[in-house]
Amino acid sequence: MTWDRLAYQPYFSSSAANVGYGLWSHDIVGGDGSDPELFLRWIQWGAWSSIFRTHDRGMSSGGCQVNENGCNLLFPWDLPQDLFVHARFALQTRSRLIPYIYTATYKMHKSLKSFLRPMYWDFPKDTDSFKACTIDGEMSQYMFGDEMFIAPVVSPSDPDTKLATKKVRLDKEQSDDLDCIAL
Amino acid sequence: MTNQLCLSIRSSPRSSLRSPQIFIPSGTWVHEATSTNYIGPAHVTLSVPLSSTPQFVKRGAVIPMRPKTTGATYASAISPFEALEFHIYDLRSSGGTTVYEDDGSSTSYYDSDDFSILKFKYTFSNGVFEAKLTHDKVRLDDGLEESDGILRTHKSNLYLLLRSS
Repeated sequence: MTWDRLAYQPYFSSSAANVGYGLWSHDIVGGDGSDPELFLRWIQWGAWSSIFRTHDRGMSSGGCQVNENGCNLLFPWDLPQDLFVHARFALQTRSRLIPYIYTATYKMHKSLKSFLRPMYWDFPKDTDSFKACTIDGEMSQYMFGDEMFIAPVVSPSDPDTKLATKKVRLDKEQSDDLDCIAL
Repeated sequence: MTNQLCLSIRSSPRSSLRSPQIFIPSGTWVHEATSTNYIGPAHVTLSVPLSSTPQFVKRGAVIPMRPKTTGATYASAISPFEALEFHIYDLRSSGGTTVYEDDGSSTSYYDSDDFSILKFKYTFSNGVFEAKLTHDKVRLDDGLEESDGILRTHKSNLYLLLRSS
C-alpha cells in the first residue's frame, strides 16, 4: 500500500456521495509495515471517515495475497510507541464522536444525503469548494456531517520542515556521516 | 578507549510537520486542535503535526460527544450513551443539537420505531446560561432521562453536570 492510494481515498469516498453511496469503507492497512507514518495517517483518515475498519486476513479483499495469510496483518498497536499514541488518540476521538456520527447517520437514513460528502454540496457558491478534494490528494477535504469538515493528511511529511533529532554515538570508528569532535 | 564524541544528526520524519493548504468555506470555522477561528472563503496553510487530523467545526455548532472512558478505544453504538458531552464551539445567545439513539444493533428503529431523539437547547443572556434536555420520543428501555449530560464550552473547559430528571 502506498501514499498515493491513501491520497485517493478522500476523493473517492466523498465523490461516492454523488451516486448515493454514503457509507463506503476502505481497507485500513499499513502495507508491509515498513512505513508506520503511512499507517498512522490511514488510521487518522479512517477515524474521520464513514466506516472505520482495519484490514483482516484478506477475506474481504479478493485477490490480495502477499503471504500465507492473504494480506498483511497490521494493527494499531503494532505501531512504534511514539506513533501509537497518535493512533490511540484518533481511535478515542472517533469513539467519543459516536453520538455525533451516529446521529449524522440517522439523518442520512432519513434524508438520503450522505454525511461524508464533497464540500460543494454545502458551499456551491464557493467555487473553490469544487477544488477542495482532488484525485491526487493535493487537497483532501470533505464535509463530515452538517457541522464540520475534515482535511486529513494523506501525504508524507515535508522534508523541508523536518525537525532534527540528535543521536549521540560513542564510536571509535570515524564515518563521513558523523560530525566528530575530539575529547 | 573512546576518544571522540560523534554526533549523528538524523532527521526524523516522526517529528516533522505537514503543511497542507486548506480551503475555508464561507462562514466562521473553529480549528479543533487550536481553537482558532478562521473566516472563509479563504485558503490557509497549517502546520499539522503527526498527532493531528485537521478538523474544523462551524462556529456556533454544538457537537455531541461522549466522555473518554478507559478502554473505549473502539467505536460502537451498541452501548447506550450513559453520559454525553455537549461541546459548544463558541457560546452564542442560543444554540442546540439533537442526539439520536437506538439499540445500536437491530433494525427495531425501523421495524417498530424503537429509537430516541434527545434535544439539547441552551440560551445565554446577561451572563446566565440555561440548558434544557428534552425527548421527542422514548421507547428504549434505557431512557435517557436517567442519563447525565456533561456540558462544557469549547474555550473555557468548563464542565457542568446536567441532570435532565
